[in-house]
Amino acid sequence: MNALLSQWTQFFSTFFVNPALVVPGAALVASPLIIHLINRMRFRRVRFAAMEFLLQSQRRNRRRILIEQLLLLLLRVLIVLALMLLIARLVLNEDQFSILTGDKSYHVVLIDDSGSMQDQTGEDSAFDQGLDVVRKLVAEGSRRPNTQKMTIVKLSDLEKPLKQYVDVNAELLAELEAEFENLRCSHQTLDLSDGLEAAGRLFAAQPATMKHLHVVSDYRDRDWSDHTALAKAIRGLDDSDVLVNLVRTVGEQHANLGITDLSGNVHVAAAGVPLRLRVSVKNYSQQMAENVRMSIVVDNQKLPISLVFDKIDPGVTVSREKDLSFEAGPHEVRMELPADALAGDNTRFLAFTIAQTHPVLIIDGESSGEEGLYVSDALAADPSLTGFNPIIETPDYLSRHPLQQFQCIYLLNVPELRPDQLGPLVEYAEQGGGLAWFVGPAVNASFYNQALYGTAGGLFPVPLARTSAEVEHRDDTLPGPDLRFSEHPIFRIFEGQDNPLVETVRIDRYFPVRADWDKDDNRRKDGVATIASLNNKQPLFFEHRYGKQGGRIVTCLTTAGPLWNNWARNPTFVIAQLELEKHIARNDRTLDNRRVGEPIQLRLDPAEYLARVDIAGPNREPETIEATRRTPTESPATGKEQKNPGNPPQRTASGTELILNYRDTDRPGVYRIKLYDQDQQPVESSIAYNAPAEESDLGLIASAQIRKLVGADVELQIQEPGTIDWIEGKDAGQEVRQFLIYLLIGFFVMEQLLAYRLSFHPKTVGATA
Amino acid sequence: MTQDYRRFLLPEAISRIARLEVRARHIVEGFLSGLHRSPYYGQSVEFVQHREYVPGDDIRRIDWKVWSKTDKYYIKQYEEDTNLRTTLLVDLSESMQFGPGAMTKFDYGCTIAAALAYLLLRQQDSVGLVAFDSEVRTRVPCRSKRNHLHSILAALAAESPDHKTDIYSILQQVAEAQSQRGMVVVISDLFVERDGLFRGLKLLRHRGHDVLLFHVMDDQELDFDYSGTTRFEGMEDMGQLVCDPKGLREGYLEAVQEFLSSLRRHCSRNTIDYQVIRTSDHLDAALSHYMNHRIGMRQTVRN
Repeated sequence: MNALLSQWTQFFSTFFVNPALVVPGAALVASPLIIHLINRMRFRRVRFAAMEFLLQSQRRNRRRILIEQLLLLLLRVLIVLALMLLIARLVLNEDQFSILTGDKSYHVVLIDDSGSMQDQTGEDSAFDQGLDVVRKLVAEGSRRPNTQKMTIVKLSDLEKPLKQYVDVNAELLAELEAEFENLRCSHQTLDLSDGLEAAGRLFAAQPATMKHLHVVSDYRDRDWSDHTALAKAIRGLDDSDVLVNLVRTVGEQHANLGITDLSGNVHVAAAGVPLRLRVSVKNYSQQMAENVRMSIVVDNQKLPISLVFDKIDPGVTVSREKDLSFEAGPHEVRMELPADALAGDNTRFLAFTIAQTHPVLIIDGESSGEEGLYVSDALAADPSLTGFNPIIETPDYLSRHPLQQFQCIYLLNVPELRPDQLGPLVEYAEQGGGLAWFVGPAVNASFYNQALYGTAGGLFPVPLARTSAEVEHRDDTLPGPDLRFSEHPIFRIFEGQDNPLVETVRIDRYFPVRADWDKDDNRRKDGVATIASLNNKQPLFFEHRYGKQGGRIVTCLTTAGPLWNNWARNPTFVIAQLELEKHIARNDRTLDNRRVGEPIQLRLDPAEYLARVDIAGPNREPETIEATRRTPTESPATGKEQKNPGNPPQRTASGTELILNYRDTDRPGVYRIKLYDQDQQPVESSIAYNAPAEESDLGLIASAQIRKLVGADVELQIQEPGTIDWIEGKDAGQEVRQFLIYLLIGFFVMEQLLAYRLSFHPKTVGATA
Repeated sequence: MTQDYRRFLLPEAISRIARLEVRARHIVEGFLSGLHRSPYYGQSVEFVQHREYVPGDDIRRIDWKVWSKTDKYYIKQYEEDTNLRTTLLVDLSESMQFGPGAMTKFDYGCTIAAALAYLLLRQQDSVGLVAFDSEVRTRVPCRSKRNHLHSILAALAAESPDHKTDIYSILQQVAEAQSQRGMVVVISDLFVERDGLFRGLKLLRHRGHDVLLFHVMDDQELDFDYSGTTRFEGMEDMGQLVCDPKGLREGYLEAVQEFLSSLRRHCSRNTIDYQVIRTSDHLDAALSHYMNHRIGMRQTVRN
């Protein structure tokens, strides 16, 4: 009997959400008939005198009464039947059933844990709500244990799913409850299309009759700005018969302010020299933000001052600058905004090391070193004010001393360089060192053209004419500016209408470029940019990069000293030289400001360092990691590699190197790295990790827009935030339910009307028979 | 026995009747007391009017003085002073036993009869009783003595409804037995053979009797407010029927109304006073109707 009942229930499950109620409901349909029969059997007896009239009435109305009684009975049966269909929830369209019912199917749940999922709605974040959806999904599936298979994967870790092809049952639910307690949303920017492709691979690996992909995400507008990849991935899944279900976890855009930048010329910062930090705040809201106060924390000490942004219009970025002085050594700066919907972008970190001074090498071609003195004075008339420590040497110094210690090297009126001088200079530039060329009367143009320009070396950006040329000043009474600056950081301070000091600069002589050299940067496309020229349209200043590390080289085709111009005697010369130094100063040793999620990759010389590395994340205890030994023939580690922090990289003596790849960098903050040299003395450095600014934009894309971008022909389900009906299949048979309700109301009305007609109703008081 | 027959003469009814008696004085003049004036013309000392002679009139009543003056024959009409002879016909059939309330139709009918008898005897009119079903069960002759009421009440109390009704033979017997014209009051539910009833009533009217028909009906018979499946078992061997009374009510009421209409129509045609009385009505309703009837009769019978 039970088996038969079970068989029937199984059969009815194709049409009903609650098939177990169908059989009892069908039995109830007989109840009006039974009640009618019982009533016929249970009658009362009345001795009646006017029987003649009763029999007469019965003879007249027999057929009508029979029809009416049958109709009433039929209506009552139909009412019970409609009630049964309503309660058992008839579903005509099989597709409307809960996705967790029916045949065995495979569900892949892709949980977006990008930074924007930390968007707070009340006490829960979008990520929490996403986890809640997954819980409910598994809970619904566990009502029919072991009928479904499921894989749950985080977007930030596609290679290691949380659960892979496991049965959906109470056990899984309990495991997930425990795991979700410790699951945290990342701060990273993640590409949803990567997740969709990974899901496609998961589906391909496991055969299943029904395939469902649930993408639990916040669906930001920026994620779909380049929708081609996403649409393509969804179409690919659709073609593979995967039913894509986009589950939204955020209903509305919340107001958010984010720090998009915190920077400064930390690579030239020196002890006691004010370091100008620039911080930018963007208003990602649709309302104006007013009176925003930003606090500053230096080395975990909150400063008594704060930066105030009076108003920030929607979509606008406002920047402020703040000068701070530091002592020599490592430092951390943290800027904090008041709390809002997204906490990750309210704080930005900057970690750097302040040097006591920055050594600058000035190579003067003339033994007198007169020109070098002008540059040296410009850079460090008082070293305590600028932080630079220039030394003036002859070209011989290049071959005799290590150059990597210098932040940049000035080459002034150097006639030629011997190969033993040129070699270290090339190596210095290749490894990120900055150079500044100033020509002069001693310069041998043919040497420059042959040994330094082009394929011969590329240290020098342009071919020079054979001899220098004089600048013709047509009107001495109205000289006009000799220098025409392009938009460039070195000359930014000279931009604007009123620059009387620059206008007094006179360039009398210069080295023209070779006549056959194309002066148009856009046409030439050799990486050399003309950043200043003379008023006779002859180029004067150039910038280009050299080597893999990108050492900056700035070239000036006139003298640094007053030999060919009067600039060295002009106050603007000091400004220009300081800006030039900052621009070309090597920053390859400056510790990176990175985005969360990027791994810390170290390449260490085993002759210099031990394999042990201690890394302490923000608010965490140090973690000791052993670097792995690798020979150079093995494939190098991919990604951004950190050289020996704080020290210039050196070639390994043994030919092997220590490789460390640390990936647990999801938290914004400062990561402290401690290396140990062969004497087991620690060498410390820090890296600041910040949340990517892209995640701050909380603008949402509308569901209709998603459908439009994906294409109307793709079968796509989009679940609005907070709705769980699709999990429970509550929407199933909605239209049938409404129809049944209307039908039931109709039956009730008809039954009541008929019953009223067939029943006796005494007339009002006062009426007589 | 006294207790038993007194039950038809309810104190409440008597008090109501006493008030009615005052009204009766104004319309009824009795022979004995001079209060009750007969509605009929007859031999008396009080002249009323002259009427032209028509063949068949008694020549002794020709006024010769008028003939001598006008050379035309006129007869003299006088007021007939007589006491009222009323015969109460009470139906004893089984159907009169019906009545789900406090009183059956029989009880109610007997009460009407007792009250009328009391009223008439108080006015020194003569009252008789005939209790019948398929035949005459009890006959009490007309008397005007006060203690005659006991005889009537005792006769009513002695009978209990049990049989079918043969109305025509009863009315025929009454018509033949009543040599003098008078009033015949029929108290019945009239569930009888229709033609026999009409013929009997017509016969009474032919014999010059004034007929008063009290049709006693129970509320349920008139309203039929039964509900739920019911088995109706007919009285007087009318068979039985199991039905839902709600469905038959409309047709039943139509049939009853049709029946009442036919009675009303026939009575109207034969100058019979007909009144349907519900057993839930107060008793004075019947007596009020009787009084109204008496007023009407003064107008109708003399013309």
